[in-house]
Amino acid sequence: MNDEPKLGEYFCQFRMARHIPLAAATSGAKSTLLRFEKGGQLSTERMYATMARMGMWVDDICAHFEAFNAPFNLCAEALIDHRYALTPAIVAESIAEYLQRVGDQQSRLHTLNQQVLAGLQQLAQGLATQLGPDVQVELESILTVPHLWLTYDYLLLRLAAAMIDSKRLMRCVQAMQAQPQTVVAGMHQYVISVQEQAVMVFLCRHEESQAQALFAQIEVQQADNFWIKDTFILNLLKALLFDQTQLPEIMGVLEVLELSDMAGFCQRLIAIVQGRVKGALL
Amino acid sequence: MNNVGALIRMLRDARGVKLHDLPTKRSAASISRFERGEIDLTYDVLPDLLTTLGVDYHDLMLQGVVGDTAKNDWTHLGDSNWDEPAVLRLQAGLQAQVVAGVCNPFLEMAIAVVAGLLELHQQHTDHLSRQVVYQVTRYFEAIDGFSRVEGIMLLAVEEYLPAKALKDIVAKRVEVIQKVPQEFRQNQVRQVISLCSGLAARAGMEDELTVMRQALDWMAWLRQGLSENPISRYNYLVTRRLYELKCADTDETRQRLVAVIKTGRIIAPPGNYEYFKAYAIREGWLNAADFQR
Repeated sequence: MNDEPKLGEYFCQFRMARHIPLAAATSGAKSTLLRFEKGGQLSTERMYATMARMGMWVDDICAHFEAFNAPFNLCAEALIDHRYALTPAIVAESIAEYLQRVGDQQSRLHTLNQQVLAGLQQLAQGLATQLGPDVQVELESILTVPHLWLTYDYLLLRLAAAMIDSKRLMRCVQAMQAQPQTVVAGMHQYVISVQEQAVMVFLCRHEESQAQALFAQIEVQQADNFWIKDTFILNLLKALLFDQTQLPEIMGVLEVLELSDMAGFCQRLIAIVQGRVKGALL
Repeated sequence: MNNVGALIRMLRDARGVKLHDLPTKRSAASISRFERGEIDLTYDVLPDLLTTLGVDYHDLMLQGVVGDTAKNDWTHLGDSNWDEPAVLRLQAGLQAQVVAGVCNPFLEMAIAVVAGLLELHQQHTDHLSRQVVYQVTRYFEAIDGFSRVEGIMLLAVEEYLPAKALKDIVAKRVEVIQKVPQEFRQNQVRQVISLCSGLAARAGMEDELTVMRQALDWMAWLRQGLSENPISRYNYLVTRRLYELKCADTDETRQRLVAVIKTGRIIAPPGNYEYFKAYAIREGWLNAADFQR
């Protein structure tokens, strides 16, 4: 990852590594591309035309330059990815990286992000915590104002779900579900992730009817557009909701696959749902 | 939404941010012109707006306002997601990029791969022509790292490449990650794990057990530091147990492989377990009785 986005230099390295001559990388003047590679400007249209001729996607640029990745999204994705073995140290490290990436910028969303991340620090310590009333109002306001939901909106709700009250959570989930299908198509994994987390939150709060209603919606969506990654967790939630005699077989799978972090996470979830301990999970 | 500026304007309104409050070195007048589509500042100002507006390039790609419009077609190159009309569109798009009379190794290889896969599917054969195999092998041996689209192509053809040639390609990629692991994101590492998995499968088909073992060792090393994932773990353990069975075919090694395959009933979509069980029997790894114990 590089901090300074020197796009031209990156294009040059990419092209040279593939032995692509300037003339083959551009349909326009070679000199224009050469100037760009040395630090000049190139129109976005011409940039994409060059990328297509070299086998480069915007994904490659994002993977190479940190500056092209939203700091909050990076932080949220990392935390969700670590959810089975989340520790206060991991959360603290993620928050520190987020703050470093944002620098001294101030904005409404940044303030909210910091408050949500601070709440997660407590959650990682095993405490069932709620965000302050003002923060919850602000979060709902950001998410329910009519707008096109972006990755940020899904990740914000995913992270905050366990820390907002149930009625507010349901309203935010409904705002997400009201997004046009054309938008949701590319966001399917995030939609499933938010709904799965909301089901888990309702289960941990012993609000089974809410959890069952939402789970039924996930099952319909899964039938249309299966998201393979979370099949195990969805099967676990289904067993917790409808038939707990299935739990030994489901947990046995984690033993065969030697997934100890997931086993710890799931055992804790089962204990909370069965009322043996109190808590919330990311 | 047909341009980045219009999307930025919409987001600014939704997030309640005034033009003057955007943290960018450009003037409010320039941003306003950008929002109206009069000037192009996409790669200039967007990095400064990611947190303030809650947007990133992934969103712009999903909205179709930046990047390769043929991107979706690439996902149909793999065997499991094969879609001939999409691949034909891809082929036409690649051919349109060729600048006459100038050599472009990337386009030449990509066009050969797409044509080879089209031929393979249209004629229902199970191998790529020697020429395509040679072209792909030579191309990937010459580059150290590969882009996302190159990775997709390699994953689409790896099952048709000889295990030893594929091993050299994968080895280069693993070495690059081993040198600077912190430079790579989880999804990049997972892509290489998928390649190793394909290599192990190919080596298994050719009974190249040394190559299979090497691929497994790479997978185990690459998995270090990654968060747990049932599907990824399943893919690794199926290959590992198959390797153990190939080294020593006993009741114990058979049952260890069966146990892993059976987890597919819980971790994979309905139907996957039955499909893979039938595949394991068809390939001669196991028999129906092994699954009834």
